[in-house]
Amino acid sequence: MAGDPFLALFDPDAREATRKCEALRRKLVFYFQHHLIPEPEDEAQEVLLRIEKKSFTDLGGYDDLVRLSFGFARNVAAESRRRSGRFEELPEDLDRDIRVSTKGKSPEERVLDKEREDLVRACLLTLSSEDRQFFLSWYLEEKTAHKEHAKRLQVSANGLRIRIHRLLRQVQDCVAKRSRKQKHLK
Amino acid sequence: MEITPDAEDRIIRYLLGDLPAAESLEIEKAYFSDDEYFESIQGLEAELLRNFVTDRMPPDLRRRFSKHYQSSPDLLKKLEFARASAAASINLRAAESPSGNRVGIVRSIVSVFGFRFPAFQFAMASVAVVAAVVVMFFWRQNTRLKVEVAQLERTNHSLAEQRSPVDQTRPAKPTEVPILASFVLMPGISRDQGQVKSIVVPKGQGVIEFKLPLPSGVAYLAYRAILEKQPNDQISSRDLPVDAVVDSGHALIDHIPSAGLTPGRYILYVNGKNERGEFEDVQYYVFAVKN
Repeated sequence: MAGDPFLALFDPDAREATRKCEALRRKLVFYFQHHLIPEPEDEAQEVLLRIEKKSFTDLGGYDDLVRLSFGFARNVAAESRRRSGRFEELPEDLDRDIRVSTKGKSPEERVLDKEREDLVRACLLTLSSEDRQFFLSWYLEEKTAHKEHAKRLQVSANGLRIRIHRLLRQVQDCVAKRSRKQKHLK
Repeated sequence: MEITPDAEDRIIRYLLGDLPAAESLEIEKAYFSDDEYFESIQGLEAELLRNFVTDRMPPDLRRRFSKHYQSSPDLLKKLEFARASAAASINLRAAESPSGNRVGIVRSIVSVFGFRFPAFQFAMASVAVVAAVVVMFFWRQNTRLKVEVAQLERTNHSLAEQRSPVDQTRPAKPTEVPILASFVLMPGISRDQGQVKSIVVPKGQGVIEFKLPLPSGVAYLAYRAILEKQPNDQISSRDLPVDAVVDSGHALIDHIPSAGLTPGRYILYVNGKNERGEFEDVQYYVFAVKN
């Protein structure tokens, strides 16, 4: 039983409720990203907060909750657009050295790229050998090789797509975790 | 919900912000209510990102994709992650097949930069074979020249030892420029951190020796050092000699004439020559010269 009344809205089982809440949060972030809304993570949190603030008694289950959150998301996106319409934000790199910008990436950006690559590499090494080979093949080889993979794994093209998405998410989560740890150590 | 080829086209347009609002709404309602459909859309987005960073996207789609994904910092982050994933994949694949599986690496590179059409693939493969032969030829040539240079050095050394008594009475000519001072420069992370190494250049004619630690795991065919004085003066650009690589490839030694180091702030860029013969950024070092 989900002890938290907010999580109980998602599912009576606490673990399933947490999974569903996280899945909804990811959808909200994706929605805001593709509507080019600034700070999508914060706006997703805002939608979840609005759901929490309302005391729902007549919700017909998770499906109703998802529909409701979609409605809230549209409102939050509209509010964000109105806010950003009031003033035009200046670009962050307004004072950037023009000479550097004309040369391409700055040294700092190049170092960050390298750090990011090292993190991804380290996280790829945490995958099982089979998953890692699949990941490398998906990135580096042609479509015919992917079809062979799908055939070997006995999954459809869509199944393969879902599989790669889950692997990518695993790597992204690992990168985020390690990156937080590195910042903490600094 | 499976993504049909027709639906795939609509989703791509949604991801690029090209779909009319009513159709976007349909897709959004669908992915909010169907977890598997949402994962498929994200998988499709991952495919687009991969095709973009590995240059496997038709020009028109590439232009639209680039415009949309660079218009938002959050979408740009996805692009950066995809770039890092592609680079890490290439490195890992190369590391996993260090000597025995060169064909695999070449296939990966051809696959990353190749075209979809068999004729182009054949052409690319032919170019790769010719390039491999040329590289092998130059490598052998280089090895032969190195042996000859070593022999000439030995001959030179023995001749020097056999100088005539008349020669021995002459004062020895100064053949090397003196090293006035040596410094170790740590890689620069941020010019705003205020931790720039300050050095004082001793007076006199000579060179300043800099030891430049390299990032772990890098190995290039050759190195180039570019010295810039801030804000915008390029002082020099030099290809470093083979013996500039020290500490088993973990550092470089660079000598800079002391006369060129007037007070001010400098950035020393190190570029490495890759297997394609192009110089790419390896590391940079920031230092300041004081009076």
